[in-house]
Parts: sequence; structure tokens; C-alpha cells
Amino acid sequence: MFRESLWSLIQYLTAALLLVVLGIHILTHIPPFVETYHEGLSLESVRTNYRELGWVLLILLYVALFHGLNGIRGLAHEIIRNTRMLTIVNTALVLLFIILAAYGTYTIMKWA
Amino acid sequence: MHMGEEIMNKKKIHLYENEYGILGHLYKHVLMNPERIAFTLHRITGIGMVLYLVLHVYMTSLTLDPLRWASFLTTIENPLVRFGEWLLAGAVIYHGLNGIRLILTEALGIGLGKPRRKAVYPLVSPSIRAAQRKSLYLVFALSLVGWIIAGYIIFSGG
Repeated sequence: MFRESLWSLIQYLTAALLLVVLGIHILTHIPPFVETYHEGLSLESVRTNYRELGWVLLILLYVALFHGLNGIRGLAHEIIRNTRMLTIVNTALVLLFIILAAYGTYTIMKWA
Repeated sequence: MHMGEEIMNKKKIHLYENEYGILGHLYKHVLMNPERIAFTLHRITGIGMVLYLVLHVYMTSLTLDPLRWASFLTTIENPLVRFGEWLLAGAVIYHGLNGIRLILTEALGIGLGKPRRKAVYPLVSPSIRAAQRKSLYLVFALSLVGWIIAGYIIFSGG
């Protein structure tokens, strides 16, 4: 579909975006933003996160899934020589992206 | 005899990667090659984080049911799970810091050194002596510090 150079560029761009959104996500779970690390996992704290930072979590979900699964795709392209097998792997990764993105979106939007 | 061959013979430069055997190869070309260590660690931490991401999407969906979330919170009190969280924290810190280095070197071409016009023996790529090598050691050091801090946050009963 795309040239590998374009996939690489997208991978770098999503990495840069991840540094920001994942940074925010982690910061909201550690002191001093929460009293203790495990207090940040209380149901109330997690639901507050969904309500107040839902859009960050949605971006994080899609970008992390894309970056991670595209990384696996790159790995698969390096070790698999069989074209049919590559098509199967690519299709499986796209399906996994759609399923996980939909499932995660449902969880976040339920409380957003 | 060609001057290059003469120098190579004098310095006993070996031409075949496998002439040291498996252990020798691991020492000379893996352990003594920080770029290869960084590459391998980046791959391993990346795969680990993708596996965790799948699990994380499922785990966070447990918040939809307060009882299941309460049961989940009891499960993660297990020391083994906390150890797993610490490993994950190390993976995230290393992958992120090394990712910044890769964006700078691979995507933007910063810190690679200038190419040389003439070959100088022994053949060492200019990038090996350039800023990227120092930034690589910085990534290892900062990752270790970050991992220790993460361990304190996770294990200190917080």
C-alpha cells in the first residue's frame, strides 16, 4: 500500500506523539499527581481520568496500537519471506487493531 | 603487498566473523557492540509492550464492573505482578529514551558524524566515534536511573 519509507516516517511521527500522550498518561498515575501509585488505580481515580482526559486516552489508544502493531509488521517483514504468509499476518494485525481500538474506545467513552 | 593488507597483517585484523566460535562471536560482535545491544533491547521491549497493550485494553475494560475491578486490584497486589510492573516500567523507559535517540539519528540524521573521503585502516565508521555513540551510553544510564526510580515508586508500598 505505502512505500516502506513512508511506513518508517509514520512510525517516527507516532513515536514522537506517543512520547507526549504516554508521558501524560504515566504522569497522571504517579506521585505527586496522585497520593500513591496504587491510589491512582482506584476505580474513582480511573473513572476521573476517563472523564477528564478521555481525548488523551483515545489518542494514546489509537497511536499506541498503530505504533506497536506497525512495529510487529516491520518485524514480520524482516523474518517472513513468504508473500501469502505476510498477507495473512498483515490482515491479522489490521483486524487486531480494529478490535482493540473498538473495545478500548467503548471502555473510555462509557465514562467520558 | 598492498599497504592495507600489510597493516591488517601487522595488527592481526580478523576477516571472518565466525572464526572466534559462538562465544567469541557473542563477545566481540554482540557484547562489545552497544548499537546491537540497543537494537536487540528495543525489539524485545517493543514486543513486550505490544503484548502488555493487548492485556491493558482488556484490564481497563474491567472498570465497567466495580466488582471485577476490585478483584483485579487484589490480584495486582501480588509481588510477582508488581515485579512484572517494574519490568514493564523498565521497558517503557528504555524504549522511550532509545526512541528519542532513534528519531534524532535515524530520522533526522543528527549525531552521525561526517563521512570521510579516504579510507583509514582499521576501517571504523565515523558514526561509531560520533555523538550518537555517546547518546547511546546516555540512554543506557538514564534508563537505569529511571528504572531504579520506578522500582522505588512501585515497591515502596505506594
